[in-house]
Amino acid sequence: MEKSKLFEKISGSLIEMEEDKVVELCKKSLELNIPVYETITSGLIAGMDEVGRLYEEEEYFLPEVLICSDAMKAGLDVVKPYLKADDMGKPIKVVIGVVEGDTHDIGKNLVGIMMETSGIEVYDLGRDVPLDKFVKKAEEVEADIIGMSTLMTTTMDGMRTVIEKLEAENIRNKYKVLIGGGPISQKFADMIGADLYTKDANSAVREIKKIVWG
Amino acid sequence: MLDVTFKNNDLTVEVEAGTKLAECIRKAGLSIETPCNGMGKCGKCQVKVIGEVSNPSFEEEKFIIGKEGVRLACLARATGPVEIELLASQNKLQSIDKQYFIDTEVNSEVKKVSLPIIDQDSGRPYLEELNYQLASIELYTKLGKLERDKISDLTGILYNDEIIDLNQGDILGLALDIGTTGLTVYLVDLETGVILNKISDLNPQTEFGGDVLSRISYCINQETGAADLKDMTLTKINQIIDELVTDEYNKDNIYRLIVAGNTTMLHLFLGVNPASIARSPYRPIFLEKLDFKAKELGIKINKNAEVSLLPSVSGYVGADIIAGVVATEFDSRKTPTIFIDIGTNGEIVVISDDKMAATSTAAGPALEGMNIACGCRAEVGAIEAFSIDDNFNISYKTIANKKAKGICGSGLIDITANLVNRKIILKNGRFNKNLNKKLKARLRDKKFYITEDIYISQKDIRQIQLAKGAIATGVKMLLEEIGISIVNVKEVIIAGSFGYHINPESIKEVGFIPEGFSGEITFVGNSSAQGARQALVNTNVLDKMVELRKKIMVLELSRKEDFQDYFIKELNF
Repeated sequence: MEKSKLFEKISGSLIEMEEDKVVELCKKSLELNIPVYETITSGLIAGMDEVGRLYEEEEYFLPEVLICSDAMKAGLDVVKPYLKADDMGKPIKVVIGVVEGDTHDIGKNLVGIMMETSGIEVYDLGRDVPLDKFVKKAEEVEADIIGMSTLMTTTMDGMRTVIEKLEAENIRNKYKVLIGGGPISQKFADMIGADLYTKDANSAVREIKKIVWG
Repeated sequence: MLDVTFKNNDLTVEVEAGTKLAECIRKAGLSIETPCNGMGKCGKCQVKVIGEVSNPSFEEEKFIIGKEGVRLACLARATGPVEIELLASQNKLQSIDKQYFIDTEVNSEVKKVSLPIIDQDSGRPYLEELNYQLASIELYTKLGKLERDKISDLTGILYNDEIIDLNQGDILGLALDIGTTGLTVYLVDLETGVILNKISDLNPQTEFGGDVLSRISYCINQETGAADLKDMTLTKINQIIDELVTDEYNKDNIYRLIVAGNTTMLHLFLGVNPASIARSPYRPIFLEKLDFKAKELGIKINKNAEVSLLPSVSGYVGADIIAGVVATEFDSRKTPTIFIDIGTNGEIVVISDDKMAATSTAAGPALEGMNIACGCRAEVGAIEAFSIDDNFNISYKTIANKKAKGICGSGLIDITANLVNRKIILKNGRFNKNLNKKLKARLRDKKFYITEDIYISQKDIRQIQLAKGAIATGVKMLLEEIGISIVNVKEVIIAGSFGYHINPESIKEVGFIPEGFSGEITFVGNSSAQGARQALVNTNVLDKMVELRKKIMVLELSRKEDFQDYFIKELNF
């Protein structure tokens, strides 16, 4: 089978939520000695990109995205052991979490999944995250992006505090700050000096790539 | 300073350049609701302006594009003289006359008793003939006056064996329900239990956002926030009381007030900052029943009147739920039963074998018509019912049969249920691409048109999925906690004004209740106000509520590890 045809089939099966088929096709790619990084980027990630687009257009909803991302991860498990260490290049690193005081994390989880399945390295701090921890973790893993989320208007000011901490430590320029969640708006992002606000998970991934890779 | 005038109102206010239009409107004593609390996200505070105003931002542009002179009051600022025309009708909420009503035996703590006749020949103080204390100095004064006028035939008004008034006529009480959106007050005769009058009105706090979180935000961000919200609510309540008593009754004859409401509303009623309720671990300042004198609170009824705030279970399962549970006799159900109060937060209580568990789930404001493209409150012109027949003919009904102007919560549920039932929306919430040709023209650009300009969009459907998913998840996790299956549940009680006009079949079709339920659905309307009324009329009911608080176990959903898995499963129709 032609390489491009196989990639198309992988993305297609992924979009159609056929996990078994994705796994089978990924095995096939190994048999055909197709470079693993190509299978990942042109097959799996390409498929998830399309899933993300469908989500953004409201064609797909949370359940579909999660099923597709499971299919993607299953495919990834097949090929990843054969991936050469530096084949994929240096990934974008993102630290994400739900800010202190809030325990609602489904939105953040979705963003995390979308990022991971598009090849971004995600450090998920979870929910109700102490504000210091965002900065500490970002420094520790040398992240490119700090992503914060909240569902509650009452906790959104924590995002401002994190940005102020970055400024106080003179490391504001090292990171791009991404914010999102129910009550968050572009206006709020402007107000607190965040670099990026997106209204959904897929545009977050797209905009991050734009902002980091230019 | 510059002048702001109002079309259709003979009003001018002076403001500083740069003042937001919403602030100008409030300064003029007019009101405008800003449901998203001025974040420019909901687009519901549109006004028409002529004059000098700031340029719209990109964000505002989305809501006002193509609408000449229209601006969002929460974002646009006056930069020179401006005339503002209010557009959003500040309609009173549709009041629900039909109410679930359980007759309550009268047993009030406030009682009228005949006192012994004053013996004009005796030199002993009359008070020493009585077995009761007088509650205040005014009553001694009053007694002195009665003696001077040689009135010897006395009646006393007793509250828990203390005399709180002398020689008055009626003994009246008030039941107050402070909802996040609406206030309801009943004027009740405490001797007969009869409701003499009732008024429902908008909670004035809605100016600062539609949900409890935006109110709490206001209290966090403004030094005087909690006091402001308290004052405006109190003013409104006193105003309603004036309207309630008319010329027929006297405010001084109101001796008792029972207050129900969610935990945040009760905090604000006292002017207590509720900030801690809105941060994990969501801790309230108080939950127990609290008693105060009316004069301490600034409620303009009899000075010695006793005010009781009903007890709450947790920060998000409030006294409104306890009141509702008792009012509907839910707490004495012998078979597994579910109680749901549907609003921005959906509160759920489950009872089985005398065990009770409760939770609250963030359903979002979609069911109140917010975040819905053509959504509106239950006001005149709102589509409140909808159906599609076997031949794919569409029919709908609007409130007051006026021209359709939007879709309210009940309409939304009816529309969704019918679209799912007729497979216009698939189980996963997507619009069906292969529609019956009769309907095909209605589906354009992922919007299903009900009239020429009113539609339900794919995004709206997603909002409904989130709302119903949240409630169904809450129900499912509670049932599991208490160890029963949905199959064994015989009845679901739906409280809140939301459910009142809804076809129960639509509730089932949309899937607010997890699959497998085959019992009855009962709608009970504002059961919180009913509970307050019962507690007012019968002190045993009040005692029961206090007991109940300790019996209900609370489940905090958002801190459960497997919440997301359950939630995702409940999103499909």
